[in-house]
Amino acid sequence: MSPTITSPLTSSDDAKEQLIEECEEMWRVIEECQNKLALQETETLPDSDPKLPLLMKRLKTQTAEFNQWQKKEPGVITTNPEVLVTLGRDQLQKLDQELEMVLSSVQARNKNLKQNLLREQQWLEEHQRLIDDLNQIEEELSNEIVNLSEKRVFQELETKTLTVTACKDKMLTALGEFLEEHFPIPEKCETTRKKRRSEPEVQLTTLHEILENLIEKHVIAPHDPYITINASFWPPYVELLLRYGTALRHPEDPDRIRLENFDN
Amino acid sequence: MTTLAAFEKLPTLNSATILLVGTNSVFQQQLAEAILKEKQDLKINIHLTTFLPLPTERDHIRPRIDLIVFIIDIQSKYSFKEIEASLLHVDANFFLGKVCFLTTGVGRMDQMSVDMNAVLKLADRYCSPVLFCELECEKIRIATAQRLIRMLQICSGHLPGVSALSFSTLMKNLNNDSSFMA
Amino acid sequence: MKKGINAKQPEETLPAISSKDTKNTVSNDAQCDKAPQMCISDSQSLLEEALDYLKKVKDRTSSKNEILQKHLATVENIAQERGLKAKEIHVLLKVALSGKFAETVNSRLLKNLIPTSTISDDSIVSAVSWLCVGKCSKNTQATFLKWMIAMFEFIDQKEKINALYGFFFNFLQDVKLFPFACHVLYLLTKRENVKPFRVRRLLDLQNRLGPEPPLQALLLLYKSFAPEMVSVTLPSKIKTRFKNSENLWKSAIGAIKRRVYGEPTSKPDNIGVGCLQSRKRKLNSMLVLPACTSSSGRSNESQKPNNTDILHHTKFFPVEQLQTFSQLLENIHCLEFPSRIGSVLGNPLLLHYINCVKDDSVYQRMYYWMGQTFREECPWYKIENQQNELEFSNFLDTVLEAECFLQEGFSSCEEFLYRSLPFWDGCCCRAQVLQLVSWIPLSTFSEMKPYLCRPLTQLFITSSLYFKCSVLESLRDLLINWLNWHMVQADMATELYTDVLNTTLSGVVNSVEEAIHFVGWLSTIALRLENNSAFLMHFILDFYEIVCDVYQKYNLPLVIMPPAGVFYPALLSMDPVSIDRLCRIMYRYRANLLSAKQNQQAKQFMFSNQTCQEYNQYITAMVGCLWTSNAFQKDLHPLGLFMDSEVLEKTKVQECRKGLNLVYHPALTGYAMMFLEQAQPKEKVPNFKLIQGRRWDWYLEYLYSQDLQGLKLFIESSINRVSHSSQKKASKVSETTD
Repeated sequence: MSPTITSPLTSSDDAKEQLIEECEEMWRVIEECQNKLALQETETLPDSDPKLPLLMKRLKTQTAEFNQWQKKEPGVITTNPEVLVTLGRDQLQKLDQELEMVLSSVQARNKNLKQNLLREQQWLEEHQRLIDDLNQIEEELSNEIVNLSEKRVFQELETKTLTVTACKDKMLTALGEFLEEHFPIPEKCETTRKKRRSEPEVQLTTLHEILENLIEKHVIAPHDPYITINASFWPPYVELLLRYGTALRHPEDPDRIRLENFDN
Repeated sequence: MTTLAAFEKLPTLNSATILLVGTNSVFQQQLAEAILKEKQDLKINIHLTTFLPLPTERDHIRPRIDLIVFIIDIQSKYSFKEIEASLLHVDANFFLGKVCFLTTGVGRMDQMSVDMNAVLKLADRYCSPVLFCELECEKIRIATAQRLIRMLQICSGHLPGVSALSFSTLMKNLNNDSSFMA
Repeated sequence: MKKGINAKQPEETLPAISSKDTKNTVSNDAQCDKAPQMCISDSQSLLEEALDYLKKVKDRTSSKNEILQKHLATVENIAQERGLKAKEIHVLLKVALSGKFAETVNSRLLKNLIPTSTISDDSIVSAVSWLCVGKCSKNTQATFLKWMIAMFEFIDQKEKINALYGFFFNFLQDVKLFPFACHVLYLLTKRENVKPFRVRRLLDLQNRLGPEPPLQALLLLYKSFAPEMVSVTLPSKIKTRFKNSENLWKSAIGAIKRRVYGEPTSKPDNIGVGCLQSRKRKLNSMLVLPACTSSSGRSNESQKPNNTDILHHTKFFPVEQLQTFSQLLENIHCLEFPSRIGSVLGNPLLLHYINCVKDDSVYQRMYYWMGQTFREECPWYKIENQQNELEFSNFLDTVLEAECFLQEGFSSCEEFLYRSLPFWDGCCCRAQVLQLVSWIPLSTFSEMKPYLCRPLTQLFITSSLYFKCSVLESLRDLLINWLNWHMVQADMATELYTDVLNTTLSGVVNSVEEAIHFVGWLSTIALRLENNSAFLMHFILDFYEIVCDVYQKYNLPLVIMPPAGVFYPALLSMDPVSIDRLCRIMYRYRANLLSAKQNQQAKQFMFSNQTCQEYNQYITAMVGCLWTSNAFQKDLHPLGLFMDSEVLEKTKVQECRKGLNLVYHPALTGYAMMFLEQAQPKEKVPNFKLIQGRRWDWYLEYLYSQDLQGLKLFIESSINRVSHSSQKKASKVSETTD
């Protein structure tokens, strides 16, 4: 704003005096307010639930504050030119400092951005190379698939089948040996007890055989993979198969079981 | 009178007073030192006590208190109980933004003996904010001291245009959604 | 094992001689050298004796037997002191699980199974076989599983253990072993382990046991491998997946990691400072790929892959050998992620790989690991981590770089922020934490509010000016990241877009809008608290430089004006740069609004008339303030510059009614003065009234020449100069009528 001010120039002492006077006036206002406030009793809150009265109090105070702001008129700090000049200089100095800070922060940011740019450029380049390479591989592969001769595929499949069969045989033998060693047909004591009860003698099936039956049924008749439990199945082994989830019982017929569908 | 009054005294020029209430005097002392170490234009008075009310006989030499900080050690049920009891001796006018809770010891989850929800609830009952900090750790203590000083400046009216109440509303009020929507 | 050999060759892993001692004089050296060796050979022989005894002693020896106790103590001491070698662990595992001793002895042995570095996979295989025999109690079995989980990282090769997947799966049936079995499976599961029958069993278990977090975590992992098999809905954020089972071995693991990943050994390892310091490099070494100790089963022959390999997926290229970018290109089809998933983060090549792989399970693994690490290592969440701040911040840097590379926020980071922000002091790792904020994935903002905005606001208003600026900067980056993400997604298929966010475009618009309002609110408060600091203002204007161009630059149909609490302080700033930036921002708003209006007619963009009104009000104020000198009369905004003439007269300034324009504006008076000095060097007191008519135009040219380009754009676009200086008025964006 225009620095031409109508009041006569005053010396710095006058300015000081004027300021002090203004301050003292303010202090008087404060004292007045304080006197009013001191009349107010201190207010204790109920210890059970202070929240509601407190919120009411806060609301009241905040409304009062709001009204105060609404009513407030913009005021003039002072008209003393000396004070104004000092204030202005102060503000400019502060601004100067802050702009120095802005400058250094902008410089730091620029440096950072430059680094990031370099980094991201490198990334971009690498991404590009990667994409190019993958596209190339894809192309080669699709060419190759076209070129695969039927004969070669057939041969490959044949060798594969051979290996798989061999592997299967090996595993079955191993399984058989393991089962024979660890899960033999229960011996005498069981059979003698049964004899005493004069039940018909049954030749028990080995666990190995039960498993083979299950597998066979599973492979041959996937639509109805159940086998019926008969007297030759030793109940503990059936229990074992069921407990460890190797076999499942027919949902309706407890006498029939099937192999858990491991591949599906 | 047993209640600590908010407005019975005139403010002192260019100074502000903070009251730290808590049972762990080591933490209090360290926090007070951290506050005093910070460079300030204001003269800061710090008063320490383990409980409220404050003894009446020294009342005349005590300046007006601008901010009360209740320090709750989450590892000690006792500290929580004491604070709960002390709160009853505080003038309702303080809760218009001149109270804050400082919770320490959250960094040792295994040793907590006060439920954190209880602290949050207490603060909510008294409409005052909670700050978390580890007072035993120097760095955090310094950061907390700086935050407390900023709050104290506002509570003692040294930031033009910002009242303690409006400030504490900012600290608390985000629960109600859209409070910052235009 | 022969004692003699060990006496000659002290174990490498044992820092028997500290570096200080070796620098001593020769005569001392000799002494020092001998003493520790003696010590080793002694303890070694004691240990061997103990192992021998434990192996051979009769079953069911009373746990009170003195000799047994003595040997147990030996094992305990040595294990805690320097750890056990793989072979020793092998023996002890067998002893503990064979059930030959009472349970107390078994659990004591298990607690002391601390490896010097690694555990051989064969030990685990044999242990599992003992478990299946069922010779030891359920408690011991559970302890073993816990041990295995804790030591998982140190198991040398995991192929054989994965082959036992079915066995671990069967342990699920036991109520006591169930949670630990879940955890083991979680760590072991690969895609080929996910089978329909297993899914059936797991779902069956869930029906029986209810929503157990470990089971849900496992199901979630299954789902990420094979979404088509697991059709049930699962909570995507499970709070605690697994109880921490490391506790028993926590300090021991620290010691192992120190041994394995190296450490400064110069300091004696006494409690307190030394202990904490030696942990220093632990965290970041987790980001390094472990060197494979035994030659891996997958061959190294596959140096030159041909394309049949690609078809058959037979050979894997060991990631440990991946060194160069060209290696990555050659082997990209036959890579497998390392078992230490954290190492992906620190490895640029693997980051490229992860970027190419569309496999959620990798992210799942990484998030799980990261979440765990955050919880364990966060310095303000766990006070004992205070000493590791530097380490933690380096770790965060690595995470951030990975996020930046992948252009994607990690949900584990988001979770970490939400969990730890309330306890953050605003100082510890400040730069990193705030950068993490800027990588929060775009989601519904109202959901983020209680977790992000609340703690952040509390910190924001109680912290320093610099902190406020940093927060505003990170929120600006957040906005940019969201907008970029939106651009990319919009470019790609739209179905995917809706899939990720679970909302439509309007969801994105809402979130961005709310975020912008939040920052506007913060900015208003900050300006108030910091007395309209010019430094702060620049950060706020940085933010609005993005906001004003959201529509044209980022193609998001949204125009949001700054709140009056930002606009007016910027307009009345004493800093010309702020004014200039504000002018540029308003110019961009104008461009965006005009283009939005055009598209509104084409029904592509419906924006509220209120935005237009706000813009016009601001324009009136700006033009009144800079050009027509009538802001005091015309600016009727509630926060505007309107002033009663009585108030103005109190200032005792002549012609104060017209006291605000390009010449008298506090930020521009300086230019006016310099302009006058140039024009009339002789005048001592500059006469501002001279700037009128033609001089006004010259003054404008002068201002433009002082790099006030924003001002130029603004004046040239927004001010209608109908006839020369006689009639000047704001060119407003007209509101639509409907």
